[in-house]
Amino acid sequence: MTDTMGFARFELTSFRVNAWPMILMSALVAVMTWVSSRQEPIGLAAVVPLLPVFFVTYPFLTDERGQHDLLYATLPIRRQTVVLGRYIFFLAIQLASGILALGLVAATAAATGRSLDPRLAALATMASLAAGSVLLAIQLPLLFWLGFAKSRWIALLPMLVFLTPVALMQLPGGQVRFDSFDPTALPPDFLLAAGGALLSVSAVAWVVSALVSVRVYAGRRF
Amino acid sequence: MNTSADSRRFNPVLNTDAPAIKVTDLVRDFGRFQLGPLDLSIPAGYVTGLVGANGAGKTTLLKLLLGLQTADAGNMSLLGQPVGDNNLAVREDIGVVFDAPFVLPDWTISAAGKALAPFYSRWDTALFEALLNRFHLTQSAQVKSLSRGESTKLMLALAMSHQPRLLLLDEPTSGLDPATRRDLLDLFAEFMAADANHTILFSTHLTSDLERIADHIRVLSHGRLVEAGTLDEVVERYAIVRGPRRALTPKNRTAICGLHERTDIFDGLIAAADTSGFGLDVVIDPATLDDIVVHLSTAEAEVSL
Repeated sequence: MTDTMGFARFELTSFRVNAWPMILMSALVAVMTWVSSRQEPIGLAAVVPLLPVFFVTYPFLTDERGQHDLLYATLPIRRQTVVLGRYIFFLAIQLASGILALGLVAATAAATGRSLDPRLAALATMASLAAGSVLLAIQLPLLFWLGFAKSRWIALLPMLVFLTPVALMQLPGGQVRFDSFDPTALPPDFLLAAGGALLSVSAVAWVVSALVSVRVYAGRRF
Repeated sequence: MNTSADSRRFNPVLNTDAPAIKVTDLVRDFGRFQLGPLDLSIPAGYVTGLVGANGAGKTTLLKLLLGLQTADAGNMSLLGQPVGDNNLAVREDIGVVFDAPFVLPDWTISAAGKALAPFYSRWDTALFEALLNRFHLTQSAQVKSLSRGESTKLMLALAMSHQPRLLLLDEPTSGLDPATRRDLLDLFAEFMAADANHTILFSTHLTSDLERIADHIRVLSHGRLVEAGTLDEVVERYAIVRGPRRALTPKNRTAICGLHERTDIFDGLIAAADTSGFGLDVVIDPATLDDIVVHLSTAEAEVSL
């Protein structure tokens, strides 16, 4: 386990080198989303946890730029450690984005004076985290299997998923349906069950994805 | 910070009779090129040059030893341990240098050292800094700003700072100026002198470097081992023959390895014991290692070993 955590730290070291452009781009996307959703704080809860998905290819691009696959072969670590360490890295980034989302929602609600149901914010954040988990769960095994050069098209996938609800919101009646949604009318048990289901979906997605990635990366030739 | 690297103890029991690298019946088939079947043994405690033309299979062999490629058949061992993902302790004892750096170009030299250090139980930060000073490398310099020679020196510093027993070098001096090459060869000699169990496998097509430092030679050609022995043994086995094409007969043609014919002259490699059968208008000289590699690379025959 310490090898895996060591590799996760290694990933963070690699990520930090070029973090600023990604952070700035993330901030830009978040602000644009907030503005386009008529400054509804809940928009941030839906978008911010999805941002790590846009950078899923970065570690694999780094591997190819730095010939890190050769480096990993010389280090006293298993290929499984590389996979699990990278998953822990993405999991940590995703959880951090979820916490950040809740913080931004609370901050913008307070700053704009808009009311916000914390249960709705939590549910939206968890739904977004679950969606992000599923997207990462699909992308990561493909990237471990093919590498960045052969699978860079995968970076388009989150864009399509992200733009779909935004497009739906622009359809006639889309915003009205959202405005008319009253979370306080939902029974607490339903919210609890929904939250549990979203967490379960996320957990299953991560575990299955990691197992597949370990398998495909173990057999990869360089 | 205690890391899992600390739990991987260095095995002090050394079997100096065991080869540092052993390959048996190794095959890797790419379709257009096949490495093997290959039987090869690299003795511990010596510098062995792995030499051959471009595309002979040198880098492929190193990638197989590192697990980057999977063999289609055969067995491989490094320092007495089978090559595989489960033998992690042996990687503590191996330092690897390829012809291009394999660290993130955007890292500084200092960051590269700090990133790799936690993975090794015997990482010596003082040694890393001493090597950087010797190579005149600035710790704050980015990897992508380094010249070809400086990149190789950085990779050597990273490879040697965890105090390996075996260095695997793939074309480390390729593209370097003579002064830098001399510096690196001096460092390799110091590495060998530091411990009688240190071993270097030096893969290159620059035979002049091997003539300065190698104890043993392995010649690869078209994926097959065509010559093996100590440097002196290999060189003394052959002679180079040159002369007018009219001096070639069907009989002496068969004795020539890698026959190279031009307009009206020829040259080729012959066994040192096979110098009869050529007329007075033919010149026979001792072969250099370069002559041997060039002519064996163009020959089809494999020396039975």
